[in-house]
Formats: sequence, structure tokens, C-alpha cells
Amino acid sequence: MGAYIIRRIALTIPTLLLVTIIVFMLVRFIPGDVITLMVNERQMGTSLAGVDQELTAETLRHALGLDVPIHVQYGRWVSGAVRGDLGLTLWGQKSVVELLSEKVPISFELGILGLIISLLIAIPIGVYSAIRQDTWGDYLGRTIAVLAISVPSFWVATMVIVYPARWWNWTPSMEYIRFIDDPGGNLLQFIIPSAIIGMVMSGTTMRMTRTMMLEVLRQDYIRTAWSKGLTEKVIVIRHALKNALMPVITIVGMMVPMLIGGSVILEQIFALPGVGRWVLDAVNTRDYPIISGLNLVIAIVILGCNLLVDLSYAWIDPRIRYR
Amino acid sequence: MGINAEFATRQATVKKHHSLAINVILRILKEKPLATVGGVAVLLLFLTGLFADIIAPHGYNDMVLADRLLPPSGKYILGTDQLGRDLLSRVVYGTRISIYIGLGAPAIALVLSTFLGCISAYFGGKTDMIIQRFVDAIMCFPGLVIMLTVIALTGPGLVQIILVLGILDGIGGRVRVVRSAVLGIKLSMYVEAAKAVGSPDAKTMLKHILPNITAPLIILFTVSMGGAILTEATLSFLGFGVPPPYPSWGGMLSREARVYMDQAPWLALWPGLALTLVIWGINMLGDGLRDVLDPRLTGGKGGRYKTKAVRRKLTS
Repeated sequence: MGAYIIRRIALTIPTLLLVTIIVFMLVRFIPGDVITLMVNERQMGTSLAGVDQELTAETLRHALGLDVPIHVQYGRWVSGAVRGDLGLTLWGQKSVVELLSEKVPISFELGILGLIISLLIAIPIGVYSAIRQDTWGDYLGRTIAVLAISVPSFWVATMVIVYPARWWNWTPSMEYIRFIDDPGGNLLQFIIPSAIIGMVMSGTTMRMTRTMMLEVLRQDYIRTAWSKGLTEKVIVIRHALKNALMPVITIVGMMVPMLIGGSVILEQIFALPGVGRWVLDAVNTRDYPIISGLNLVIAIVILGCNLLVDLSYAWIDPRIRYR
Repeated sequence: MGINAEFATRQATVKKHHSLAINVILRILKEKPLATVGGVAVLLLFLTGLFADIIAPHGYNDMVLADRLLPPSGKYILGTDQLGRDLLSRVVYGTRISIYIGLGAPAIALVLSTFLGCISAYFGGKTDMIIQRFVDAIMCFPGLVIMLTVIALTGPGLVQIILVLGILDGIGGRVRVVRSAVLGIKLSMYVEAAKAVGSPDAKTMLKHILPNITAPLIILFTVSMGGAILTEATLSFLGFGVPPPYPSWGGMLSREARVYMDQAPWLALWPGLALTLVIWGINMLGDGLRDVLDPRLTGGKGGRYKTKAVRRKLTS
């Protein structure tokens, strides 16, 4: 097991390198680079304030370390990243790691709550749909599942903001409440966006649960369990669900990138200061270190989830051994 | 039913030997009511897009400033927006974007993923390893962040979005699906036979492998359609999509709708409903197609486990 984990982690290194190189190159090719933006801004600033424009494009480029060839820049960035230093933001020269540690927990909370809610919706309905196959309950469950996949999350979010405000004069808070200041208020603020993420994500999980349950329920050992006289509850939960869960977990693991994408949009709509809004701003202002740093974090999260998914197989199915 | 009648129906079913497409359509119409409804929704989408010029009462960018932010009424069935543009017309013209995206991006994705998946599975070994590691890397990209970056790079526009969506989809997880489908038939007799008579690799892949993975490819295509339309809407919503004034449903939902939502809540309602209906239709149709085309899911009618039936048997 230990050796397996170490080998898997070693295998992620080339993947991470590839991912970071692609993003590193990509952001630097966006037309209208950061230097142009900065110089424009400075000119606007000087014409307004009447201050002398000291910095030219060349000195600015040098000060930000963007004047060296791109592979040298990447080398510097990687050697910093290995030591846990992701550089300074181009606008404002703040530490990227510090900003990340401020914003990642917000997105993380949103994502985890969304994941929990989606599983709470998906698994019971999926199981029910399967054990009552082709009944009205099943049809209802399946319709809900397909609707959940089809409804755009940003539309639901917009509706949640528009209609309660009209009908009951109630709007979700647009001021971020920190967990330390007011845990209740913080959870209340997160519950709506994470419920929307959870709802949108539940569809796929629900369908997977149903399909796998149907397959498992036709196995011989289920018939044995019935003939032993076990109750339906024990059969469904202990015998069937446990065996049906493996592909479900795979699907959930594969949805992590979707979870991150969903957070970007919902943070934008509900004014949560997480990484989602930050990355939009970073793309618009061409703040390369932010994009690269965030990309690294997200890639590590996704790869970590993949590893956890693979490891969870052994926990669910003791026949699986990792070497 | 008499033996003669049964014999007659059996003969009738034997006689019906349609091409794959007609067969599939007939089975969906007969066995899958929900998929039929979904298919009708998709058909409606195409017809609306095709005849948008006839259906829409106004142009998509005809501004009547006197009629700003009007609620739904006889003159403007779905109301108007902040520039006095008819929302019905804008929603109707918006179907075109969804059609372009919904067909264009999956088509590109299909070609790329089929090409990569076939090569990866057919040649195996080092080729397979390299392609799969590459797919791994693409799969752990944060999709939306990459798309935003690439669109910032190419500039917003319909063609750019189709290309970005299609390429990113085509070199990602879908390669795996095609690969596993090809792996499944790579060792079958007819492929071996084709190789034995000296058929070149490209010909074997095109003439013997490709026709036999049509079913998973069709499923892949329909699944991608809904996803592509939704992603375009998301991008437009975030301001990285099809630039105004052309109406994209996602764009219509974005900032304007949210700025004027107090005075005109219907601004946010219609594009979202249209999106939901279209994606729901595509998903239902895709489900039906998968049920009909996937050999693992067909022909299992008799052997289905039914809890109720078993319970009844056990308790009686």
C-alpha cells in the first residue's frame, strides 16, 4: 500500500510538469499582455494626477522578471514552487501563496458542502429508483435526475437571487461573513450556493447509483441473501449498495473538475471571495503568477482526488490489493 | 393469440430489415416515450433555428427605446429588455448559437477523440502509453479556467468557442471511451482476418473497426451536445462567450438580466427555460439512444431483477 502510494505520487510529477508548462505558456500568449495594460493604466493615472511617468515598458518588464526568455521564467517559477513559493502577483506584488491560503478555504468549503449535499440527494433517490424499478417513484426520480443535469446552475442561482427578492423581499447576503466571526451566518451564507452545486451535481451520481444498483441487485449473492431470509433493508444497504458504490465513487471523483468550475460561477453570483472570482479577475488583468499558482493547486487537488478514489476501492472491496 | 397470428407477427418482424438509423428511430418511437419527447424537443430546436427569420416577430437587435423593459404582453409575448428588444425574437435567434455549438463542438471532439482513441488502442505499446499520459494531463486541467484562458487568447466569438470546446473535449476523457471500445473489438476474428490478408493499418481501422464502434460514437456525440451547449452558455454568462449584440442564451442571463432584475425579472426567466428544455431534450434522447444502441443494455428484458416480484414469491 505505502509503496503503491509513493509510486502513484511519483507518477503525478510528469503530469504536473506538463500541465503547468502548458498553462505557463498559454497565459503569456494572451494578446494585450500585462505590461501594455500596466503602462496604459499608468498613463491614465499620470494624466489624471499629473505625476511624472517614471517607469517605461522596459523597466517594468525587468522589474517584474518578464524580460528573460520564457523557459528561464518557467525554471524560476518551478524552483520557487518546489520550495513552496509561488511568486508575487504582478499587480500589487503580494505573495500568491498567502492569497491562495486566504481564498482556497472559501472555495473548498463551498465545494465540500456541495459534494455532501449532492450525495445526500443522489444516493437515496438512486437506490430507491433501483429497488422500485419502473414504478412511478422510479420515473419521478429519473426525471429529477435528468432535470438536475439539464438545468444550468447559473440560471438557478440567478432565479434564487431574483424571485425571493420580489416575493418576500429577501436576498442572500452579499457581504462575506467569515467562519470565525459568525459560524452560523457563514454556513447560512454558503448553504444556498452549495445546495445549487449539490443539486446540479446530483443528477449524474443519481443515475450512476441507479444503474449500478440494478446491476448488483441481479447478482447471485443477492438471491442468496433473499433466500436466507434477510430483510430488504439489510440486503439493499449492506449487500447491494456497498457493491454498487465503486463506480459511483469513480464518477464522483471525475466530477471534481466540474465542482471547481461550478464554484467559479456561483462565487461570482453570490459574491463569495473565493478563487473563482479571483481567477476571472486574474485572466482579465493578465496576472500570470495567480493563474499559474491556482492552476497548480487545482491540478494537485484533482490528482489527489484521483488517488483517493483509487485507494477507496480497496476500502470498499477488500479483494483489491495494491502493490 | 393463435399460433398463426404469432407466426405472422414473427415473420413480419423478420421481414423488417431497415438500415441502422431507421431501426433505431423506430425502436425509440415504440419503446422509449421519454426519449421521443426529448427527440421532439431537439427537432423543435432545429426547426426554430432554421426558420428563425420567419418565427421571430422582430429582429434580434431591433431596439424600440419607448418599449423598454415591458412585461410579457400581447405585443411582446415574452416582454422586452433594457434596450426595448423583443425577448421572444432574441430567444428564437439564440437557438442558432445553440445549434452551431451543439453540432460543431461535438463534431470536432468526435473526430479528434476517435482518431486518438483508435490509434492508441490499435497500436498499443509506447503509442498508447504516450497518448494516455497526455490525456491524463488534459483531464486534470481545470476545464473552465483553461477555457477562459484560451478564449482570452483567441478573443471571444462563435468560431473560437466551437474550436476551443471541441478540441478540449476531443483530447480529454472521451479518448478513453473510444479507446476502450476499440480495445473491445481489436482482437475479434474479423480484425485478425483483415490483418491476415494484409490489409494496411489505416484501412483496417477505417473499414473494419470504425463501423463497429458507431454505437458508442453516437452516444458520445449526443452526450457531448448537451455539455457543449451548457458550457457555451456558462462562458457567455461570464462574458467570455459570443459577443453582443447577437443573442446567446447564456449572455442574455448575464449582467444585463441581473442589473435589471428588480424591474424585469422575466429577463432571466426565458433564456434559462429555453436552455433547460433543450438540454433536457438532448439528454433524454441520448439516454434512449444509449438504451437502444448499447448491446449490454438490450435484450435483457426477461432476466431483469424485480424486487417486488421476488418478494412476492418469497412471502407467498
